[in-house]
Amino acid sequence: MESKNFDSLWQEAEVNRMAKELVREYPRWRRRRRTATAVVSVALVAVLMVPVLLPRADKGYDLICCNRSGIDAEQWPALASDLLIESAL
Amino acid sequence: MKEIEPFEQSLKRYRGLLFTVCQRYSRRGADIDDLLQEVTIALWKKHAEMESIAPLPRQAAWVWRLAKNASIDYLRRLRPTEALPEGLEEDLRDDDTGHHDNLQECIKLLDEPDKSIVSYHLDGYRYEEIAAKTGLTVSNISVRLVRIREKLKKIYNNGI
Repeated sequence: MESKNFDSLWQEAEVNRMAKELVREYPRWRRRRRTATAVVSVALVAVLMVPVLLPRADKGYDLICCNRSGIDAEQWPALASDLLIESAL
Repeated sequence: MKEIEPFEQSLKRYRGLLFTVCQRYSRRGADIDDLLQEVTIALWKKHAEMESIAPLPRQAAWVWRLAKNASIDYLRRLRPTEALPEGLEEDLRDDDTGHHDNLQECIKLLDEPDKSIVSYHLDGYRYEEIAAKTGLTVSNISVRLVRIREKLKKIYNNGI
């Protein structure tokens, strides 16, 4: 009877110990969560910025390609699709 | 007699969820440490019921509900109520901590470093942290804790 009492007493102490461990871990978890939230926010902003930045990049790319190949901007998509089809064959 | 290891595993699995719920309710004026303690005890009491729930997403939803209800219950208890009759409050406090005092009395009778090891352990320090504090190895701490438990059991059964 006494032994059973001790076991339940020990178990109670162990559950309290786990609760204390959880409490001690909470600040670490909060720090990790804040870092993760910041990283995800930056990634999300970067993804949302792509449509704003992409036309500029396209324009620059077009200009370089057009200058080198000697074709104008209207002809460039047709040439690019031809090259893609050729490389796929 | 409930098993402590499966409960510890469950607690590790759902700690993020418990932190999230307790963090939310701590904004309503409760201390996060008290909330976590309260929720852990509530989960321990209903652990057998939790284990019978499958699959895991349903179990997680159940844990979420339990944590939420335990937090709300705790917040309700925090509300100021009528003062208890003189003396009764003291009696209740004595009754609450009686068992724990017994264990603390037994721990006081242990020699060093056993006394420090078990105190650190019951304060929620990990084996690695206890090893760093006492200068012993992690495996040594684990073995010693099993022996300390046996010693405490003997002290408890032979009367303090």
